[in-house]
Amino acid sequence: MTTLGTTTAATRPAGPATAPPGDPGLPARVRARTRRRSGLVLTALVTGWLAAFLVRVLLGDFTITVPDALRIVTGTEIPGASFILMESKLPRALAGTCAGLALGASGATFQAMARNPLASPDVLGITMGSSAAAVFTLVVLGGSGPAVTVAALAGGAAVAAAILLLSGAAAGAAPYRMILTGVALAAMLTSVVHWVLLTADVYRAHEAMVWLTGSLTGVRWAEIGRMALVVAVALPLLAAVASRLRLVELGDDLAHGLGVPPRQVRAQAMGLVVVLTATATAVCGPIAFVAFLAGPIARRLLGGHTSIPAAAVVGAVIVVVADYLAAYALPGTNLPVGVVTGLAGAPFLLWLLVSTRPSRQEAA
Amino acid sequence: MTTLTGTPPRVRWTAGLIGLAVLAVCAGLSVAVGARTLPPADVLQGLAPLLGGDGTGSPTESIVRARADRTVIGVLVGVAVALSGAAMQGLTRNPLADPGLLGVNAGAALAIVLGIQAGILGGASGYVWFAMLGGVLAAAVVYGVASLGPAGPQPLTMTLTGAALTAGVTSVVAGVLVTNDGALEVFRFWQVGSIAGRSVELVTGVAPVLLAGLLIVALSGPVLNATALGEDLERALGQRTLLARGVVALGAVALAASAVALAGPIAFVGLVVPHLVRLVTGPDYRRVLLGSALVGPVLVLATDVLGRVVSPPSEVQVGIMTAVLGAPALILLVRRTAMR
Amino acid sequence: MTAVQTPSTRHAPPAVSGPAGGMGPDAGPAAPATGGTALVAQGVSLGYQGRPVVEGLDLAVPRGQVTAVVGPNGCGKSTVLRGLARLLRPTAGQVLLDGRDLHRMPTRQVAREVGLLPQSPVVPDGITVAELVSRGRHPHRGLLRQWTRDDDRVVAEALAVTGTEDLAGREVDQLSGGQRQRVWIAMVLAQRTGLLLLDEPTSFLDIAHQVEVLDLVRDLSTQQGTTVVMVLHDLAMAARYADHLVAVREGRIAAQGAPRAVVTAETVEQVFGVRCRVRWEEPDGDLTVVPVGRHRSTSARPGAAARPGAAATATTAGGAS
Ligand SMILES: Nc1ncnc2c1ncn2[C@@H]1O[C@H](COP(=O)(O)OP(=O)(O)O)[C@@H](O)[C@H]1O
Ligand SMILES: [Mg+2]
Repeated sequence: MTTLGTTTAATRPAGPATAPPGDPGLPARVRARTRRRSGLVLTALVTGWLAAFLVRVLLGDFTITVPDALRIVTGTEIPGASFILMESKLPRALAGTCAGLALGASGATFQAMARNPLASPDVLGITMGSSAAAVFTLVVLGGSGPAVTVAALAGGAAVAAAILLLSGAAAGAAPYRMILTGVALAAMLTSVVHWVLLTADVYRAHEAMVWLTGSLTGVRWAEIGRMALVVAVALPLLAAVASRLRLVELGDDLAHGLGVPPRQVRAQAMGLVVVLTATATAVCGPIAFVAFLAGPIARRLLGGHTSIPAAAVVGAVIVVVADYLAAYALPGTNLPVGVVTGLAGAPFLLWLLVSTRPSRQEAA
Repeated sequence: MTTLTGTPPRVRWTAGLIGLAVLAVCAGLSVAVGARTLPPADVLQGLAPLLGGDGTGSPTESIVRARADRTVIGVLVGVAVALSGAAMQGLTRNPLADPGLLGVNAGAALAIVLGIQAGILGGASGYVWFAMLGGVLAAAVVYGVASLGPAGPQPLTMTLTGAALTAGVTSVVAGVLVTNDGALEVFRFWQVGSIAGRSVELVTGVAPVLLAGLLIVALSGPVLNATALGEDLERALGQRTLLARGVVALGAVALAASAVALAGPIAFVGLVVPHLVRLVTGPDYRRVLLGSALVGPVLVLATDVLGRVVSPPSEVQVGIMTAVLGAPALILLVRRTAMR
Repeated sequence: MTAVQTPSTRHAPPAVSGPAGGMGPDAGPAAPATGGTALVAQGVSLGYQGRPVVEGLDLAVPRGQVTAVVGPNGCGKSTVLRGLARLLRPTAGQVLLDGRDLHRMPTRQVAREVGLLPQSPVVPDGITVAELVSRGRHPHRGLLRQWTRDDDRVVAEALAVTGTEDLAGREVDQLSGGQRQRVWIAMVLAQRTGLLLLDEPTSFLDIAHQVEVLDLVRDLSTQQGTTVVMVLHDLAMAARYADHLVAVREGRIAAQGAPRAVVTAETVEQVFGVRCRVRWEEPDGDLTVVPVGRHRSTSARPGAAARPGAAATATTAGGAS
């Protein structure tokens, strides 16, 4: 007979167990504590994002005062400042925010879905699907603008569908299968991208390389509008799916028992993840590490609690701050934002690693 | 579930012999097939001077010579990558581990890009040294950082540190490449991984590291078997393998670094081959290593030959071929097996 | 992976008898007819990817009573439970919940009437006990119906009943196996269903915790009229705590009925492939199952010499009832 219990047998009062009333305040208090912390953290995060946004827009090697900025935004033309604000600073800050929200939310969703803290659309090849399709369009077909966006969406969706179908995740297979399949597809697509880079002329290759690194330079207002629209629609939908995804986290069987069909939830979540990731990738390129790290960072801040909205805001903060650093950290160079997120992501990952309790290694 | 764990020895021997025969065929094809495919007679004639006979100095001879070099490098790279992959999977108990896991490929890439940037990289032999140095340094950093944790260098921490280092390094590489078109021009050829156009002399430079790695990993079966049982059971069985595991890791890194130095990053071979082999041999690492050393070069040579014929007159690099063919193989494997 | 029929003696514990004393509704032959049936399976076949595992299952779960499903590893106990919980669609036959076809009912409705605790639920990272148990309230929430005081009360009761109140603020993945199992049961209880399907609720628990969980199940049944179907490994425990026993072998029901009728030397050997001596203690009806195994040493003991006769009488008594 297995002897695993280390607690005393009688934690339960000896009296009859006729549905003792229990203290309804107790679980309520525990839940309220969690909720209060979530609220606080979310408020702090939004404040942090606002600060980063303002810094990104107003400071840098060309400082714009708040009154000036307000006047420009409301239509007044200020020579020099107008151009820099409206064509560079503001669009980059907005695009960074939208992309960060999209990537952070989809990363956290993915991690919950795959029940693995290391899964993310990057690792699973969805981002790579978008990238491969976009680079192919950019380099081989010579397309640009909307064509690249459409290609990125199609590429991401194709990889997501392939993962669901090939891994049998649609039929309720174990998450590790999904991860392995995604990793395989990602590696394959990476080498396809390398090959396209290799066969292109060096100018095209350079263009593709910048895009592949993830960059906010030269985003257009139309693209920002599109991205903002997608984020505004998809994020609330994702939040709605998330409440059911929380039950799928308990295992497929239990989710079923609680009246939540896991396949359907996974398919919905996957669909939203693809739309969000691919939209962001199409406009800004695959910005490294944001989707991967936003979830764990948010969870750490919330004391081990998964929260998709918090992860989204963390993503936005990361991208906006990283873009500021990319633009101004090395004077004279304008690095793609992906270089900074990748560089900064490494120590973050290490931090997560060191502060992760060792008991968390998932066995299956 | 579908593993043939219980295969009788006779089946295993037959599988081994078939493997050897296939390897020989692949090597033959690798010498014969290409932009100009040679009949067997020409191949034999071209091989004569290499085997100590008299050469005639014909153009056929130089083609055969180049292809023979390429074949030798392909075999070495195949063995190195597959063994390294098997060892890494065993050490980290991670079925997704591959030779790039501990940051070796990333380190090599960074060293090469920085070398190009600094303008101190002289030709292919220079690549070899830079790649080797970068790969080994990166692995050392990963190991060092992973040991900082409370429980020492655990498999999971090593994997994650390797991933972190790879990501960070990749960003630096991208940063250099987007600001330096000259570097991009050179690097994009290196990063696909190829065994074409390398002379066999390169091997002599790598040989000491390669041999040391081969020796260590070839003998690492028992250590890996013990590791597979998990820390607690291993301790209960009285094995003290911490040191041994460190040495095996060193060997795996040496192999990976040699391979990346010779051919650039070759995707998937190190990842897929051990899984394929396990289907026949079962989980015993002594057999998995042996089988990997056989199947690895077969896969590299076969895909390389395939790369020469898929889109004539140009060639598709072996690194691309292995990835394009390896991914479906891995997915099939995932679908069929119940590996955890 | 596991052999369908393992010729080992592991399943039937060596000479463990059910805890003595206490009220025993299982003492006499239980009559399922009185309460009617809550759940009925008619000719149900179940399988995975076209591979049949369970075939022609006819099962009637008596209302308000405890039904235990026993059988060797891999015989399809979990599969049966999954079929009863609507997780698997039968390839033939149907499952009726209070006379309604289970597979025609809305998902959420089923979740309000049938609670399932699977064999290996997943503990999400960092989740607290209170949070986990409150997830059991999901079927009762809607788009408009948000969390209420009532939900809090139900959760608190579920914690109290399972004795996990003190753990409310703890993280589930830091609990001991026994605590964790009770928390999972609390989660299913928070679902407030009249029917509970528990897959091996006592695995990984020591004897004290097993008794605790099974006492809890009994209480639920006698005091709140909950119908329980649970998979158990331990024959003696199953006979002690269940009103109705279902023995499964290779996807088919080998025997079902009152424990006395089911647990006989013949059925044990037939189902588990282990020769046993089965002894019912008169008058309170506790059961002892002693595996004979391959080693004759036990029967060579002086005390054991008298037993074959006793075992035989018990068998006949069991068979007669
Ligand atoms: N998800 C699944 N997919 C395929 N086969 C399964 C699955 N679950 C269980 N099985 C198979 O069904 C049979 C019965 O399993 P199960 O009902 O879990 O047995 P038990 O619970 O009695 O130990 C076993 O042969 C098992 O391999
Ligand atoms: Mg089971």
